[in-house]
This record gives sequence, structure tokens and C-alpha cells, in this order.
Amino acid sequence: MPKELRIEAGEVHPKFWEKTVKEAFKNDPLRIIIELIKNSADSYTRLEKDGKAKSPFQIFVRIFCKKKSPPYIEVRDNAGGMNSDKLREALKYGTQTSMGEDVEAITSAEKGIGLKDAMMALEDNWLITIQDGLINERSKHPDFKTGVGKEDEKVGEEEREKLEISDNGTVVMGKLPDYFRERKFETICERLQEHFLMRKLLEYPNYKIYVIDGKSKARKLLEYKSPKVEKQILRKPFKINYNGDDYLMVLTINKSKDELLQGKPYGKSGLLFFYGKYSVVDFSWCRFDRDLSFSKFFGELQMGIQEIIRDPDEILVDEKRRGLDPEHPFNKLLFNKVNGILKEIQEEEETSKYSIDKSIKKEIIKEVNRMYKDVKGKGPPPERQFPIEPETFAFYPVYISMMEYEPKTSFLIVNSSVVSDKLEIFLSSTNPDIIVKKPIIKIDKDTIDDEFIVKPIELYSEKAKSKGEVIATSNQIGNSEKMGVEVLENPIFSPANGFAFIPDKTTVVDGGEKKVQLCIDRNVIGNSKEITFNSQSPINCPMEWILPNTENLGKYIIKNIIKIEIPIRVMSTGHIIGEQGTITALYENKASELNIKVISEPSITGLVRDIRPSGKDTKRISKFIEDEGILEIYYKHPLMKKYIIRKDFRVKPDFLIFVADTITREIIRAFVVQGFKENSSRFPIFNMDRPEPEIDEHTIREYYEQGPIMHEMFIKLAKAFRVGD
Amino acid sequence: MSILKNKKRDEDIIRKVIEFKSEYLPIDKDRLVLFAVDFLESRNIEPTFDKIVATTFKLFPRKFSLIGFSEYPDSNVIRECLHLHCTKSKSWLSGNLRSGYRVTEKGKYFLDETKKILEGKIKVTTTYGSIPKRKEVTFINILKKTDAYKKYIQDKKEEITQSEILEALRVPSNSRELIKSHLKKYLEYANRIEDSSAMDFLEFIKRGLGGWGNA
Repeated sequence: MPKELRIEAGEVHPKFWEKTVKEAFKNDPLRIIIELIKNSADSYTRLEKDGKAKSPFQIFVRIFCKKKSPPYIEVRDNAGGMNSDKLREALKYGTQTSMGEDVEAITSAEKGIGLKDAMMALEDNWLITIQDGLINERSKHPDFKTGVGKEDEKVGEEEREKLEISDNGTVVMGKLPDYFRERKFETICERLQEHFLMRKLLEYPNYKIYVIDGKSKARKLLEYKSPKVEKQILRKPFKINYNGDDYLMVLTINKSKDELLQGKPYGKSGLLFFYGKYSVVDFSWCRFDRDLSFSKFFGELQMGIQEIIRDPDEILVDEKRRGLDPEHPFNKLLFNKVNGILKEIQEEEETSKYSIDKSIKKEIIKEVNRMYKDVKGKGPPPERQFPIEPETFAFYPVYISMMEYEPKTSFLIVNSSVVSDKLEIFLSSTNPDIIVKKPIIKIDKDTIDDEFIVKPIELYSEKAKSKGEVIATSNQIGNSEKMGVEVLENPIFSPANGFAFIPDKTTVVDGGEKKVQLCIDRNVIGNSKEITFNSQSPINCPMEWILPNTENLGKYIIKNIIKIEIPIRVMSTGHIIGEQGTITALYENKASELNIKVISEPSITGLVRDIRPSGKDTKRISKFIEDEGILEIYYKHPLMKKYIIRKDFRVKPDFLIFVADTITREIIRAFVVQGFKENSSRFPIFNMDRPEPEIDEHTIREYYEQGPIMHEMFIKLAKAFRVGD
Repeated sequence: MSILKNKKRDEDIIRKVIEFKSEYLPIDKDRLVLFAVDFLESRNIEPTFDKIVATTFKLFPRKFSLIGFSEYPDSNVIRECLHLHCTKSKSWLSGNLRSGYRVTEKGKYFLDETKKILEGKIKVTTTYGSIPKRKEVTFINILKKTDAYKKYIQDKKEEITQSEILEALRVPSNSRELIKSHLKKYLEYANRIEDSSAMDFLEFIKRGLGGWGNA
């Protein structure tokens, strides 16, 4: 034990320390040892960064256990050691970091606890450090004063041998406090390697932490055995925007085969919040703590918070050092985001309990698609209705809104009774910025086979905010009609911050590929020619895109906007449908993010590709997701819940008929909408700005025709619903 | 004084408005409200909410009256047409309750089309009902979806079973009192919304049940 030669004054009020740090240690006494281990690890990290140390980085924890009193410990490293100035600084309260500015070195910020706190917790503590042949010794008194032993004295060989420090290094020693209840060496080792604060550090093979029994000299290398991953559920990068800055987070969630213990400090089921390589700040499921539906899950959140964690005004950990302070605005944003993701996972997990008999589902999908093919190819409906029946001719609709640089179709409906021999109708625009693609409509009486003739009129404009009229005149009839036209701004010409994916969300089939649009304002183009892309699994895209030279840039520019088409694809197949990925495009100081959802591969060709139960909170019983070709059945609907939980729904004809009827209407509506998109003559829609009434009409008509067959099919489907494992 | 006179003059003009002569029942309500706003504007009367309600009702009383009270305007329906449809979703009108309303540039095209529809120059194939969605309509619509009603309409009266009649009247048991009271209510509803086919059907049930309905 060193000899105290003088005393320096303390800086912190003991009551504050007791209320905060001591409380934290009392709740989790093992942290005293952990803080000392991490302090040693930080020393190695700093040396490695400076190129002055090579792995393995060994840390030795010697424990002298006694039956009736707490153990005495020594934590030793052979890292850089400290000189007298650095040591003084390291043990002084009021400095944010004792060990410099490395990410891993900010131990006091991790949970607001660091080397000096761990020293304070030890009785009769001493820190002995050797650097460049000089030895320094200091201790912390219970009243926060600092005891000083040797100061910059030359170290002898005998002393080196005693301390087991051959070159540079540090030893911290002292007796653990009374509230440290563990007395057995094996138990302490076990707890140390299970503790959440140690997990990230133990993951790195470079760091070797040995615990030595002071009596038997037995040595144990600490190891953390992570639960076996059955399936990776998610690996998702996202950003938290706080005070105008973006902080990148990467969330990984895995599922294990077995149920895991939840909660701090030894539970395995939870999210490990950490920054840098191994600096852990919390272990929690946020608002799902103690929610048993997460008992098979575990994961981590890598936090890109190096900037904010150094800011003395932003204390992310709570005063009692339990973890991230839920009241801090940054943490609030983070927890909200994480809670949202966890909720989705929980819903998906719940959904996996519900299923539909595969063979019946396949049979029904096949039949529905056959029916759709049949219906859409049937030709015009038996009684063809025109939305309006004019005396002569008239536009339908009489006013249209169109987007700049995007063609739009309107209609002219002509009463065939006014056509004598050959009729010519001339179309002219009052605004030269609005172009009528075919300005003359010619109708030959011999070709007419209906009471009314519908002629499409294609319009185009490159000038947003233009307004005008298209006038139709016919000398033969002596009549003129007009239609109002307005041109709206196309969103591709106003990318956010002058650099953005438009749209910023898209879908891509599993194993498939497509092109997405990146729009860049010409004024944003600087000296750099390189746009870089970061993509997360399972999405793949080019790593970079080189902009053409200025002289060749012209052909890519419309209205001062450069539109680039970026190919993206889903790597291989077999991904979870609905899995999301992100592509981030970076150019100079600009960034844009594109969210991509993986949808099922259309292995079953046709309108409906899958039917699946879903746990979405919605008032509906079912919905057809057009983009994905999936019919979702919502088991959280009160009626579904009521009957399905009782499991006797298969013998409840009223329930089965109701469900079947709802699904029938949904599918028939999907027939109409898709048929209209595929230009099926059976489902003509005239008023494109407000197509709902016409879609409803077609749906009702088809319901009476196709409904009875579909009812039978969907009753079968409803019966094929399965709940539970 | 002159202001007061003016006020009286506007109201007098509106009071003297008579029902539109051509067939307007199949035309959708939004178009008729648009027409009423223009009707006021063209007579230099500021189209404020109250004047629009009164004018719409005077011009198209059979489309905008309260169920069972044909002499009163259904201002709720007119407000929905004015505010939610014509102004918010269709942008045919601009304004609000506080500022009054006016026809927009876009609205003028639909107004012209509406005038042609009212004049019979354009026939609209989609027809719209004139009865607002109230309790009476809801119940009669439910009645019309029952098997008993469908069989009645398809002239398969002899196939209608007693349980189907009970289902149509929403009577869970064979309770004579309940049947009597439900039948009476349904007849009242059908009568109020002047639905002749529903009335015929209910009369048919009444006759079929013999003493039950009259008891």
C-alpha cells in the first residue's frame, strides 16, 4: 500500500455524489469493477489509435474474496499509463472527460460514471500508474480530497515486478463497499460476463479480460455467449433529427429459438444502446419492457451520437444513472422511433400466429385471377352507359387539372345523330402553352355503331400554372363547346433542398429491380461530379454516379432540374415480404433518402398474388393492396376478433357469409380498378379526376354478376383461416 | 336607410323565387347549390349562407326539404354541399360562412354544364337520390336488402316464409306486440320518405299477417 505524502482539496459535494453515483452503484455494485475494466480498455483503444499498441489488449482483474466481508480488488492494464498532470486531471471532478477526446474514452459520459467514481466507491483506494519510467500514486478520500503518494519518481525493477507492469500501465486497487454482496469468485466472474455493460467489450476478440482468484491464482478469461440467432428480424438504419442535425442510428433485432430473460443487468432479451465500439448507455425494450411478446427477441442500437455525447449541455443519461433519460428531447425522439419499429415487429409477430390453409389459398388465388382475366376480356358491359348524353357534343369532364410535362386525356362525347356523312370537329387551345395533341377529330358515319361516340383528347403542357380553354367547334353543326384546363406544378421540379428522390418511397419485388428518380436542382451542382449511394441490405444500387460534364449536362436538364434514373434491385430472393431498406444519396453537403419496401415476387401471375392475415388496426375486414397484389384480412376487426378467438367461427354461417361478402366486394372493386388501369373496355372511366362514382357503378354491376360464385369461394377461404401454432 | 331598403329588397327577391320548372330531381345536389349561388350573383345579391339556403330551397324544394316537413329547408344538407363538396373537395366555390361564397373560375365550367343539364341539352345518366341519409332512409334501405323484400320485388310472394318476414321487420321473436310496433314504425318511415315500393311491401305484410297488424 503506498504512503500518503500530501492532500489536495475536493471538488464535489459528497451529498450530491451519494444521491447520484452512489445510488447507481448501490443498485448495481458490479459496475464499480466494470468501470475500472472499461477505463483500462479505453487506455488501450487510445494507444491503438495512435499506433502505439497491438492486440491482444490484456486486462487483469484480481479478486481477493473473503467469507464475511466484501472482496478486495486490483484492476491492472499494461496500456499507456499516465503522467502526473494527466493523473491529476483524471481524478478531478468537474472535467468532462478524464482521458482525452477519443470516443471510447468518454467513460464518464456513458452513464455519467467514470474512473474517479469507481475509485470513490472503493475503500482504501489507490491508483498507481507508470509512464516512461516514472511512477505516480493517488487516492480519493471519502470527502473528495485527493491523497497524493509518489509523484514522478523513478520506478525500480522490484516495484515493477510487484505491480506486474513491465513497461507502462496502471493498477487501481481497493476494497469493494459493504453493499457489494457477492462473496464467491465464480459468481463474480459469471455476473461480470453476463452484465449488459460488458457485452460489447467482450464481443471484441482484441480485448482479453482475465479475472484471477487472489487466493488460488486461478485465471478465467471472460466471454459473453450471445443467444443463438434463429432469424435476423431487422437491420435498419434511420436518422434522428435533433436541433437541425441528423444522427444516424442502426437498429438490429434478432430472434432466438428460446425464451430469454428480460431486463437489466443480466437479462439477454432487450436492446443494447451503445455508441462507438463498446460504450453501452442502456439496455431496454423502451415501452415494451417486460412485454412478454419480446421474450425471444434481442438486439442492439448503434447510436451515432459522438457529437452530442460530448456536449456538456446535453446530458442524455438520467441523474441516477439508470440509463437514457426518457425526458431528454433527443431520447424522446429516439424512443418514439424505436417504439414505432418495435410495434410493427410485435404486430408482425402476432400476425405470424394467424394463417390460411396454403392449398385452399392457392386454389382461390388461381380461381380469382382466372375470373378477373375472364371478366376484363368480356368487352363492354351489356348496357353501355355514357356519363353524359349531349344533344350535339360536349367535353367530359368540362374542366381538367393536369401536371406539367405529363400528358393527360379528356373526352369529347358526340351524339351520333348529329353526324351526317363525315363530321369534323376542330380543337383549339386559347393558351399556346397548352397543346392539344390531335387538333382535328374526324368521324365517319359508316363507322358508328353506338348512340354516342367517345373521342379521347390528349393534352400536354410544359408550363405550370398555365390556364386556358380548349374549344371544340364544328362548322357542320354550328356549335362550339369549351373545356377549362389548368396546369399544376410537377413535384419532380421541386426536390426538397434541391436534391431529392421523387417520390421518396417506393416498392420493389423480391429479387426484382427497377429504376428510381433522383432530381437535382442545377444550382446545387458544384465542383464535384460524384454522387455516392449507401444502400442497406437487402437493397442494392450503384455505389456512385458520375454526373456528365457541363457541356453534356444539357440533355438531362428539364426546367433547371437534372433527372437521374438510378437502378435498384433486391439482392437474391427469399426476403421477408414487407422488409424495408433505405438508399441514401449523398452529394457534397446534400443528402436524400429513399425508403424501399420489398414486395412479393409475382410468381402467381395475375391480379391477386397473395392472401394474408394482417394485424393492422383498421375498421375494415379486408383490403386489397394494389401495389403488392395482396388481399389483407384484418383479424383485429371486432367481429373477426369475437368469432376467431372463440374458434367456432367455422360453424357460424352468419359470420362466414358476412366475411365472404366483404371480401367479394373488395375483390370486385379491385377487378374494376385494375381493369380500368389496363384499359379494359368493360370498365371505362370518364371522369379521371373523380372516378369513384363510376368505379362504384361498375362494382355494383359486377357484384351481381360475379358475386354468387365469389361468395362460395370466400366462405371456403374464411373457413380455412387458422389461429395459433 | 338605403342600406335597409337594399336588405329588404334582397330578401323580397328571394321570397319571390319560385320552384325551378324543369326536372331537377336526378341532378346531384352540389350542382344545384352551385346554380343557386350563381342565381344570386347574377341578380347582384351577395351569396351569403342564409341567402343560399333560402334560394336553394325555393328553387329546388323537392331536393332540399326536411323529411316529413316539406315546407322547411334542410340547411344541413345545403351546408354540406356548399362547404364540404363545392368548396373543399371540388373547388367550384370559394369562401366560407363568414365571408360568403362566390363561383370560382373552375366552378364556371361546371355551372355552364349544369345550366345545359337543367335546360335538357345534356342528359346525365347517373342519377342521384333526393332523400338525405336519415334514420328513416337507413331503416328502409335495410328493409330493402332483406330476402323477403327481394322475393316480393321478384314477384315470388308465395316463397316468402314467416321467419323472413320477422327478419325483415327486425323482430327477434314471435312477439305480437313487437311485430305490431315495428310494422307501424316501418310504415311511418316509408310514408315519410314517400317510398311507394316499400309502402306496398309493408302493406302486403300487414295483409298477410291478418289480425296481427291491425290488432
